[in-house]
Amino acid sequence: MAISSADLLQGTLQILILKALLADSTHGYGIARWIEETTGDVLQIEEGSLYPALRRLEDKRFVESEWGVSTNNRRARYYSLTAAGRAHLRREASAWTRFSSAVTRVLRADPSLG
Amino acid sequence: MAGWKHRLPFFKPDVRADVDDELRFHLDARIAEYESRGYPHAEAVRMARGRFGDPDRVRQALETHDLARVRHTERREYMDQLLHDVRIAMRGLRRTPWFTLTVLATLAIGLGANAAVFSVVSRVLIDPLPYHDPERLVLLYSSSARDSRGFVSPNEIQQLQRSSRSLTSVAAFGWYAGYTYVGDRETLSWQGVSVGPNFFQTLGVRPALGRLIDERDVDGGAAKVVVLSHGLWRQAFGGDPDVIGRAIRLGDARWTVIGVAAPDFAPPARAPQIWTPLDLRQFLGDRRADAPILQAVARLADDVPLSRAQSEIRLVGERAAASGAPSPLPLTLLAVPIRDAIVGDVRPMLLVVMGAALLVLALACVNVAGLFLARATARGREMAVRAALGAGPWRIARQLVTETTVLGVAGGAIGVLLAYWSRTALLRLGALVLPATGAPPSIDGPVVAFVCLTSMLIGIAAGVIPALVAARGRLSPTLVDGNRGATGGRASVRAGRVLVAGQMALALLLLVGAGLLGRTLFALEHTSLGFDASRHVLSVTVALPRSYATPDSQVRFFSDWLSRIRAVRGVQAAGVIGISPWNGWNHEPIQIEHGPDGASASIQATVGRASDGYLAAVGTALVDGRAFEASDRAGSLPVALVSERFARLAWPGRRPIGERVRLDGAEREWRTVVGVAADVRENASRDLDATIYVPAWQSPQRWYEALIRTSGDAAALVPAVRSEARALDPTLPVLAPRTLDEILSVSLASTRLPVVFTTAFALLALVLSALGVYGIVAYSVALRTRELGIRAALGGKRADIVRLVLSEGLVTAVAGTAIGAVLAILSSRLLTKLLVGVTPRDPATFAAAAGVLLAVSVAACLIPARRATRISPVDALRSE
Repeated sequence: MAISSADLLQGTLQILILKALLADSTHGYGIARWIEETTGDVLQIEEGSLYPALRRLEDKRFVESEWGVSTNNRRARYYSLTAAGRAHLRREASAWTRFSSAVTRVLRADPSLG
Repeated sequence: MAGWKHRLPFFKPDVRADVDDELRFHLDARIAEYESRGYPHAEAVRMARGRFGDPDRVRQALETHDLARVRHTERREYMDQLLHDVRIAMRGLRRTPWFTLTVLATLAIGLGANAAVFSVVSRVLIDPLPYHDPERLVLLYSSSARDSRGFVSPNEIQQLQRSSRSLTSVAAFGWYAGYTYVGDRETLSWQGVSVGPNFFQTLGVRPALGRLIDERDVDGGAAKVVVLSHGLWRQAFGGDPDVIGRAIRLGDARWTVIGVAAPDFAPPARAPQIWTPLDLRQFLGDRRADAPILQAVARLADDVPLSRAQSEIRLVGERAAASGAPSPLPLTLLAVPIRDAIVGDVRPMLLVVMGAALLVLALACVNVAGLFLARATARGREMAVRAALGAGPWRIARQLVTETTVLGVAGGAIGVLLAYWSRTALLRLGALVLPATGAPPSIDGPVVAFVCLTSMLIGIAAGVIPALVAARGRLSPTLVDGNRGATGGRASVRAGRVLVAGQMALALLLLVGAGLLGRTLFALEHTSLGFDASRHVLSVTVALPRSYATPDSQVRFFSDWLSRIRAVRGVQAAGVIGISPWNGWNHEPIQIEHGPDGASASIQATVGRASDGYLAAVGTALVDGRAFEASDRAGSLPVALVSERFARLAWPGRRPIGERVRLDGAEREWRTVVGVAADVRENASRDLDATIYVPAWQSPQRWYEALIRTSGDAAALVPAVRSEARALDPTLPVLAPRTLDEILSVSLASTRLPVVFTTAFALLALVLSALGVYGIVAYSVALRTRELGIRAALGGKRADIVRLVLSEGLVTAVAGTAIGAVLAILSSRLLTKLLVGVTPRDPATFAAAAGVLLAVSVAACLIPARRATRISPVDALRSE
């Protein structure tokens, strides 16, 4: 089952992006590929929507960007996580985990869905 | 990599290309990925697009966002730098308090003077008058060769009301009439103007309370209703709103108050205290129909240009003249825009004052530029250090301009305060001269905006010259050889000399202007008027109510009153006159029975309807024959006095006594000339009149101006004169008591005002330019300390050194003065309208102005010159 990006809440998309940047700075396409590979293409985000989200994160100083050269020698904009972004990701991740485990508990409660 | 673009001030990062690159990179990478998985190219493109969404929408969103961000960043960087510059400027200015204070004072005075003057100028010449659509209002005059602003006749007004297409409404208004208000506790004299029923509607004004005069009030004759001025309402009725509908007693009749005018209502003439209705029809039946006894205001129809209205009005005037009694004077009806009618006389004067203020401001700017120039050069080393540390010329110039702008703005702020404080004094000076045009001048938005703008401009302008010099001076080896920037110093001394010469030129312009106006005032004050305009002569006016209907009763009152006044202690003479010279007496055509060549002739003369005692009271000399006597009254031989000029014109070479004349049109009987009086002029700026006097009691009227001469201060006679009038008639108002010197000083006030201002400004200019000369010479002496020291060491005489320094300053001063003289010759003609008894290029005034300026310059040079002689050679060498 695939979840389209329309279903993804804005905040969720931002968490995905921040998480994607946690390991290393990369360009927008790299973020898209990371999400694709990590989720097994379950979360099929509309890739165009990554960029406005990146701008918003930049405005909040959670990420910063710089022009660089990609592996195939092309000019590309690289995004990296800031310290503020890392802290934000940590907060959001724990909130998300609590939220999702709560929803899971609700779904597991009696009577079961069968 | 990315950073270098932001350092260049005019380079904007190319947002569009960046967004394009970023999105294309993404799509290309995705396409390549699909192709590597074996999809054909077209399919790969389709899939990548599908996965991306609408690229155009994304691109647009990103471009909008990025552009806004770039703008925001630029703004912040700019503000940061500005704040930084301002902080540095403030620090620098605090380090040199004397310099800062001098500049602030110079700017504050220059800007303050301008703010004050501009507040008056904008109120009088620029702000809209307090009427509805004032641009379409005109005042109507009947214009003759002698008087372009004559009153108009009831007949003319009616013709215009009936047949004019270019005027939507024409309203008559009358002259001033005295009313005695008999209140519960007090009796007051009020001045009133009667106005046509459409007067207020034509002006398009609303009342503060109640209603204004309209058609209802002249339905079947003028009703006894009054509109109060706002000031009177506050003063006499304490601002009581219940005054509307109240009956008040004016003279011997009861009048009903119907309204109160708005506080800012300024009538298109001197402001009265009350307005009463005027019914034009009352004049149309009799001989007054064609007499110039009324004023008129009219509104131009929409889309009708003044020129078209003017030609139509002239035609109507000609028709009215043809239908009425033949007028010996060729009269033209004239429509004058209401602003010109109200402020026309003061405009040249205000413009001169404004021009003088602007000259002072220009001078202050030049002065400040000079001060900053000297400062910048003195700081040559600081600038060189900054440049060495990587500050570009652009950055250093910006720093200098910031410094001057900070001072400019601060000076402007202080200037506005100065103007605000001096406002009262200014109003008092202007009150005599300035027409009422709504609320009094105030230091408000436009004035502050004017000062802000000017002070910013000054700041920038004053900073640019030193900035340019600093940018050039950077090339000099200031740091390398440490010789105090001799090269930059010389360059700035040259620039400084140019500035000082400019100051001299401006100061000379002001001095010449002040001199010319001052001589005009002197000439006017010392022009013989032909009467004694002193504090020894009192003028009062009495207007009898309608109950004095017969000539007999009028003559009885005035002659009784005069003989009672003559009995008062200290009174030397007393008499009355219908319209006096200083009130702009009538000009009428006079028939001469036997003129210069024996045949009958007609000449224009001013007519004084005077009683016995008048000539003695005002001090006009009797040259030949006899003056009027109490016995010259109705029934006795009709007589006349003529002035010397009249006699010369009418009977050249003959003795006038016994010749016969008569007032053209109005009289059947010839009058016999019984005496000759000295010539008189209306005021100092007018020529001598040809005058004829006829005895007041031979054609009496209900109101007269009485003149009373005493040996002491005539103003002290006012209570006695009042009580003598009340003894005869308790309700009678005695109006407008003033001494003749007061009255005449009003006519000089319009000359005195620009004289006071230009003189003050010229003195200011003198001080500023003296400071400028002193500054540049002192600076140059400081720069040449070593040279002068060596000269002294080599045995140079003190006198030689003084001469050296003096000549340097004087060359500049003379050059500036010469330039100023040329400018003054070219521009002084602008003053022509204001000058009397002196030509705009009066050599004496020019010489005196130049002399004063040069003398002050020499004095200013002497201080640094003396200092130069005291330079000790040892110190001079050590100082390097």
